Amino acid sequence: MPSEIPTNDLQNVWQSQPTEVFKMSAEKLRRKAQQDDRKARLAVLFSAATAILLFLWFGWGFLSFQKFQTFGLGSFGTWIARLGCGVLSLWGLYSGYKTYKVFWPNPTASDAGLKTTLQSYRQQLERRRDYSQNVWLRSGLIFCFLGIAMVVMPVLVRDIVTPLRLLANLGPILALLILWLAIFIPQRKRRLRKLQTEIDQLRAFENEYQM
Amino acid sequence: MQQLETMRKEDASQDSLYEQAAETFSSALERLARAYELDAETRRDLLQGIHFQLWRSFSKFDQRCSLRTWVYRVAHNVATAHVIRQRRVRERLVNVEDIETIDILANSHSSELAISQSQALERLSRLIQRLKPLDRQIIVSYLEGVPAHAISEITGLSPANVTMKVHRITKILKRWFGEGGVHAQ
Repeated sequence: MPSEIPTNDLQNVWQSQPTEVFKMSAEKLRRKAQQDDRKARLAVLFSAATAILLFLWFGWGFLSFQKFQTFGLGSFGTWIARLGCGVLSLWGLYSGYKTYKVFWPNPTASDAGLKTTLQSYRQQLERRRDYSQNVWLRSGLIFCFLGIAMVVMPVLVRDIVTPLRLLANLGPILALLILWLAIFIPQRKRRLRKLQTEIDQLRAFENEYQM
Repeated sequence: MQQLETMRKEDASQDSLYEQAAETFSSALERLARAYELDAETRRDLLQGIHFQLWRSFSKFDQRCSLRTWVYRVAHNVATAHVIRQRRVRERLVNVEDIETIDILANSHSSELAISQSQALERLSRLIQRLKPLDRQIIVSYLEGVPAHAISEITGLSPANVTMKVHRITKILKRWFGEGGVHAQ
């Protein structure tokens, strides 16, 4: 470091650090902003497309009742299965909307104070925690399972007289359900614990402003 | 047509404000990024993020505060958001009052001897890296020579609080860097 820097002065030590010139042209920044906007729009589009796909797929199932008749479900069974498809179709739309609402990042104004930055990030985490805590209701999982049950039950009832066929149909569904629960429940617990720790830390930071 | 003209003017003003800020505070912003990120590659991303947000923010700069206050406020917020999103880093942060109780001082027994500038800078960087966001904003602003009333505008704390904090920080720095001070090398 140059020797003319005054000694015993930390401000000078700090300010005399060697730095490189870093500059971005306004044009480059504008391009980056456009790219970011495009990315954000794509994410929304993907989530909307998935929701619409689910809606259409199950909606089509609901409308094409002749298909269910070929399974030999009987008129009551056909109606239950069709209604199940309707429930799943609506759930597709609802879950897409909910995912967008909860996970869409809410950018803080960059010129906001530190307290606002911390608060906004904490609120974002709290929204995620509340969503995870009430995931059965918030993401409409109850309706998803209700819909699946309504579609599957008539087939199972039809096969009740032939236990082997029943087992062959029920087995994979049960195995999938157990596997999903075994992964989903511990993962949800871990995520909730992690989120709560983060929220507590941010609260502690925020409390420093109350002095 | 008139609307298009207004938009063009706004864009030009945003660009020229950014260029002015980048010209004046380029080095200060790099030092600020160093106070928040040790890894050179990540620091470059952070610096890019700061410049980007700065440029974006100038679309609503209303001149109610000085350019310097605005630049530091935006830069600190971007950098703070970068730190608080890293859970492992965040868990290790302490208040400036508690800095002496942690292992950061383990190899620093030269309080009565003068230390070189590079040693001082290294020690200073290590200290800053362990501070919580608020203390970090204050210490970095202080080291940049920002006056207390401007630090108060940047952090949103009252001037009295800032004065008290700066006083505490300078006392701790004096104790930490010893009576011998810093000598040029």
